[in-house]
Amino acid sequence: MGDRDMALTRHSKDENPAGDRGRAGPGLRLSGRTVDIGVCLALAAMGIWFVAEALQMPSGREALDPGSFPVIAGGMLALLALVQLGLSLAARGRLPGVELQRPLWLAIGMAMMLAFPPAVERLGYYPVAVVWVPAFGWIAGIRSPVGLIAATLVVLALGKFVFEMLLGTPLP
Amino acid sequence: MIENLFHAAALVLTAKVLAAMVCGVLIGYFVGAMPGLTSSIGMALLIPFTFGLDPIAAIVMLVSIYMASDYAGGIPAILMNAPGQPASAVTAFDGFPMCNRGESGLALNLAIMASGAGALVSLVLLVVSAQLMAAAALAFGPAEYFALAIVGLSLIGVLSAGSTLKALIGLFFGLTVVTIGIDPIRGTERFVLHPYLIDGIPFLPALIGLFALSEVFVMIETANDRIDRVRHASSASHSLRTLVPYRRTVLRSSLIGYFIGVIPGAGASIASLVSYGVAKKLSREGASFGTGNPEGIIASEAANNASVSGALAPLLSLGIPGSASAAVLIGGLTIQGLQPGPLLFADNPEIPFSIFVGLLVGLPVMLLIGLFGARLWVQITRIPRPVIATVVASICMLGSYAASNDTFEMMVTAAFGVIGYVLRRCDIHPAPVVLALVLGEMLEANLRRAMILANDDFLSVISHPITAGLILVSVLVLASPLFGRKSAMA
Repeated sequence: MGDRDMALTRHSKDENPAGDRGRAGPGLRLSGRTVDIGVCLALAAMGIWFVAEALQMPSGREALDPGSFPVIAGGMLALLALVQLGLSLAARGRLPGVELQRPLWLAIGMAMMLAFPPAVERLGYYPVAVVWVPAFGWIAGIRSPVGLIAATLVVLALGKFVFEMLLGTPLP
Repeated sequence: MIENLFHAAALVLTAKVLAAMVCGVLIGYFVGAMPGLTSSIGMALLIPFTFGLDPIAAIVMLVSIYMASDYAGGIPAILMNAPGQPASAVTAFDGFPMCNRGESGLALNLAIMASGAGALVSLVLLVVSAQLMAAAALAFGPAEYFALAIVGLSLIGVLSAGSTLKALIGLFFGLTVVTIGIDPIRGTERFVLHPYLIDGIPFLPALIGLFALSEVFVMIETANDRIDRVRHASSASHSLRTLVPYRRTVLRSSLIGYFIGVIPGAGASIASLVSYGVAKKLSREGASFGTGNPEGIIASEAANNASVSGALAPLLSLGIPGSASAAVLIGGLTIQGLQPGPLLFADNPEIPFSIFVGLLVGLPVMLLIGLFGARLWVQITRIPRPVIATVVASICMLGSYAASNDTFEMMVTAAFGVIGYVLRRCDIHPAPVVLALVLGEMLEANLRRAMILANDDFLSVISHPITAGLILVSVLVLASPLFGRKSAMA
């Protein structure tokens, strides 16, 4: 280690390879209340569905049958989600907002992750990875071709040398 | 105990295990030094790589990642004011001001040495206490295990960061999801919407999705964020004597860290915060804390690292994870066919003792890499986050596939990644969900077994002395936020 003292370098957004705000589009600002309401409604619905399904399960002679625990867990989930929903509705304007940066890229990234398993099953890992990794890298914010190629090579090498050769995992 | 330690030493001191340990330390440093990647993410990603290793090499590697990432979290905290691990945020209070004064080298060395000292003190406590706890737990029956799971879940719910209500929602989300599959007592199918779900939601893919993939989505979202980077760290003495004036702080912080680490759910962040607060109160130079006082770094780092061994104590002896990373470690042990808990000491003593020896042998390795590799870790923080996000996303998919060579597991990872991200944006952290996934089956199976043994008399189940004591603890823990609110209002 040299005798030079530390020096900070500040990288502005313009210098950042992913800093193309124009292409990324503006951020999406949602009210904290809206997010809470959406998530709590979904969780409450899930809890209620588990309770409804569990109540139809065959019961035995014992006090706690296979449906009891899902009824308790699902019921508590629904109850707590509804309590939070009530609190969020009451806290009008007092909840901090949720800002989604790069919402379009985020949505595409999620869709790409969900599409990856069926694509691999149909076409095989390597043909999919050759296309998917650079595309996902672009979505993630890599803008240099060298970066995209390097990331793709790293992922392909990981699959071949680590998973297939070292760990003996046959990739589809 | 001595015999077990010697036997474990013979197992650990082999080329294969030592190589796994060094790999674990290096990966741990990488994960810890990268802001955004945490020890739990690193371990979740690395579990698939341990499939081909023998159990001791695999566990030593995972524990080395856990330990080293906690060391390394202090590096970006000091150099960039961006903690690599949540617990290192406290290190930044004094580390970054020291860095700005041109004392980054001294701050880094003190942090690493304090981490090492904290780890050593807590390791001694771990060796002694884990065995005692396991011996006591051998007398536990289903009722006590049920109560133990309740204590673990209640502490996790209350002590998680942010809103208690939201932590409890996360907890019950996990408990609900864990009921999918075959029921543990009668073998009835529950909520099996797809044949692949007959064995329940696969734990490892869910874990990878909740911790690692949800973080990838955060990285995609924040790809435009401004990142401060460091070019150089100043040179400073590597002598251990630098730490001597602070020996009392080291010892006190290590003890605080260990005992807080033992409490399920408390974790390293609370340990370092409490230790920092105590050190500030007791120090003659308390007023200078937050402006670059080396004692602040030492208090935070010693406690932070001591809490790692603390979290391992309930995990190894009772099967209750003390932190999110410990929950991931349970996943690693389970995949190797090992069940953490009191029987681990009776049936596979080589595993816990190899962990102890691995931690001891790994300590100098971690110190040397930390003290002399600062320049390398500074370089690591320069890898662009989009590149990390892309590679981590691919490893998530490959790792979950490797769990059972099935693309369905990839799908589970992708789905839980999206769920984890949405929950995070709603301030529901993934840790309570994962811990519920770990403890859910233990909770249900033991409650139902206890009820069968007690002829369906619930009062008889909870009136066992240990069970009653543990349930009382959970009630007090769950009620504690109310007491806090009352005293705050008074």
